[in-house]
Amino acid sequence: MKVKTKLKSLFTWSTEELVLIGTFAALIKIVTLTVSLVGGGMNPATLLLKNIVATAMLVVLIHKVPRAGVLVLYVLQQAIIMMMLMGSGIMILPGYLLAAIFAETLAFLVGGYRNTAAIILGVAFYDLASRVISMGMSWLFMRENMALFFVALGIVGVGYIGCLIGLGTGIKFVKEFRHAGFIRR
Amino acid sequence: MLALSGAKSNPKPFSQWMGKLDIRIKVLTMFVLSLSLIFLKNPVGLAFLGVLSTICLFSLGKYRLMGIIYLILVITWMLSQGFTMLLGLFVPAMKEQTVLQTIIPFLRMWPLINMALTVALSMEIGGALIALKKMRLPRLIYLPVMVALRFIPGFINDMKQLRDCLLIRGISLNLLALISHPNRTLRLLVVPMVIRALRLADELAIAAELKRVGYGEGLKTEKARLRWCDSTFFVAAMLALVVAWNIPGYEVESGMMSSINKPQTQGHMESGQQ
Repeated sequence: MKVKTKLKSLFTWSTEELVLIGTFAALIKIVTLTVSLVGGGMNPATLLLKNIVATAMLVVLIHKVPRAGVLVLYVLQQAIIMMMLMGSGIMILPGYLLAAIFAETLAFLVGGYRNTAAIILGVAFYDLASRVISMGMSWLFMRENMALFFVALGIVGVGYIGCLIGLGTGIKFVKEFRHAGFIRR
Repeated sequence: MLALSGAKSNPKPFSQWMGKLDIRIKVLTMFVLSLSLIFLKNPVGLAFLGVLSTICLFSLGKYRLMGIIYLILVITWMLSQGFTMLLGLFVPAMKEQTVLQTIIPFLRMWPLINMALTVALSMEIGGALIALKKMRLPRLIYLPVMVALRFIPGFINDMKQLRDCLLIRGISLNLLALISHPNRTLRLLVVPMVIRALRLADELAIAAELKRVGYGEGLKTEKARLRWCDSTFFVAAMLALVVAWNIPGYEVESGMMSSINKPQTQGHMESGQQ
């Protein structure tokens, strides 16, 4: 009975939580795009900053909605937005979903989203797994031109360093927002 | 809450034939095209799909945007060519990369970008929202998507305001500031945006609850605007894919190590025999 109730609660989300996830999905897309434009395109500084921002915001989102399934829902939203605006979202969705599910499981095993360490571990794992899957997709698209693939590999590597820095920045932001009263838990 | 109610958010009617198509047909076409482009290797077939999708985009009349996008594509291809030559100095196998091999990934991107732009530019937000609801998606999928899609323009406006505020304070957000003061730039850019988003989400959630948007009750905005019978476009796209698949052309072997020893004429002859 308890398991049934827990499973049911996984699919029962309040409007506030859903709106927050949608808002952050859009916010992360826009801020990363803005950082790219301000930074003048693809250079290491922009790449680092873009990923720092995205990861930090994801950490803030999970702190704001610390529920199992938040990462999966966030990935779904991102994929749908990408699918509707760019068309490529649907191809990466299965891989990204898998990465999110594994990350959620890992976070659950470490202690759940009430624990900051679990959030950090989950987000770090999700970033790594999703990048590995993205590179697999890149290989499918660029298999005739491996030089381009290696360039993409370098770019993704720099991006992941940004993600790791973003985890620390995210914790700093959370502390600040908690102090300001925006995050109460 | 105009957008969440599913009402028409863009009052300007789409006069182009592309804008009148059902959003589901366009998304379905884009999905099938994305999937088939992974497997299609024939450059002539890819170019054929590129030209067809360019016609679709051309019908929207966004010529300036098209020019900019294509220019970016050409510059990116030239950059990749440059990187290939640079890597060729260190990795001998890279020298064997032909121009055709470097151009194929861009030929793959060309129809995809065209179709994505066509869908994005001809998408009417109200129609898209109704389509999401009509697809019987659960609330936890369509509600955040509705919020995200509708409020992207709002966030862009917020960003412009933020930039103006910073300019008044004598701080400009550019590459130099990004490199010289990354911490400060990050703080000035992100913290106000997140605070704004959190407030907006709170307001929006309250408004949504009041309007019972989450449960989809009390809404009488679903007009009979979705037409599955507009599938002519989908069928035409499928036929184009079949034609593109069967066009004889160059066969390019994949992989860096698989060098092309055969001359181009031989490739022509072989494909002609097929």
